[in-house]
Amino acid sequence: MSIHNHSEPHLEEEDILQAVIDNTDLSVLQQQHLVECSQCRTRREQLEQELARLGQLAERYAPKPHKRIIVAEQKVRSPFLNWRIAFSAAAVATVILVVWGTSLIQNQQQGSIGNLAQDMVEAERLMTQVNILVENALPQVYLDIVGETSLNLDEDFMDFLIPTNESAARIPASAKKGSILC
Amino acid sequence: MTPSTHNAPGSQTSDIQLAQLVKQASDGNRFAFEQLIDHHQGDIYRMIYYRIRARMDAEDLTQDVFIRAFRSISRLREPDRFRSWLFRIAVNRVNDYLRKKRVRSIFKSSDESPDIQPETTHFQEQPEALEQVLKEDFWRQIGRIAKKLSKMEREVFMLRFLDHLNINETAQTLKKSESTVKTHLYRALAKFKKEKALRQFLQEDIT
Repeated sequence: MSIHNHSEPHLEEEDILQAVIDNTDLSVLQQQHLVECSQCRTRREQLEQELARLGQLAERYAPKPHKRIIVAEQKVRSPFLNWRIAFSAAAVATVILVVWGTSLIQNQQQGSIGNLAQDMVEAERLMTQVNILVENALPQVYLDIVGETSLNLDEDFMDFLIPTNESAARIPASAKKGSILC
Repeated sequence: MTPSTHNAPGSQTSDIQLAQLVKQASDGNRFAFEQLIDHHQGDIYRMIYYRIRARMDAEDLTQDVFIRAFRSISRLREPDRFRSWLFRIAVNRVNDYLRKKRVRSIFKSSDESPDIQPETTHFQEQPEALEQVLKEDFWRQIGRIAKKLSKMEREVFMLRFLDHLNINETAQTLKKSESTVKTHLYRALAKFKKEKALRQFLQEDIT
């Protein structure tokens, strides 16, 4: 910063900038010169006007806000509020637990009864098949060959087919295989 | 609550009244805080708009600034610093917004420019076509000079000449010393002086 001599007495460009920012940062002599010199004053005022106009235009060219600012009301909390919230939460949790537990137990019971019934049905079905096989162990294809699906095989016929010791004793010796002499 | 126009700080009575309102608001007086909103809403809204150039986002951020201020006004020790404190909240919110926008722009397609583009209004909505052209030209010029300034230069320049904060308020807002603010302001002004187009625009407007 310097003040020029009488032939070149004006403030430097940076002094003008300093004056715009804060006039008191200039030296006393520079401040004095600024008061007396209309040319330097004009330079400063012109720059100040431009900057002021900059601010005015920015304000003018900014759109107006449409929204109303609402600051949410800060609710005053009762000291018992937290207890109430905790109690309510505990009550709700208890109800949920009870309902959930009851339904769980019911589901388990229903599940065991259902399983038992199914087991019984399967056992009955198995026994039916076993009984059928006891009655007639021949597969269906052999029954078809025989021509009768329901053979009435009574005890006498079975004895004839497979004689017991007693029945064998009642058969005459002549009727026995290999007893007749050729 | 109608947004207020720019207030002219400096009136002694007004400053005392504002300090009282701030004190009352910090004691929990909601009505006092609403009066403070009325008084500062326009300034804060514009301050945000100048930096993000999107009206609706600026409105949302303005609301957010006042909500944050309301929550923490009880911690404000010096009521006469309310204005710079409010601007400080706004500066931080704007920086957050721009940071998020920059991050989001990474995930957008490359043809979408992350730079701030002035919000344009359709001509059919704005009958004064010349005014619209001038407006767009003005914001373009502002965007051009903003790019030439460093972050701190830009911030002090805008706070001082667009937001009308004095040196002391600017220093408080940015939590810098006054001499630091003046240094950055000096550099910013030197660059502004070189912006012939913008200065010509302003000079034409003055004459």
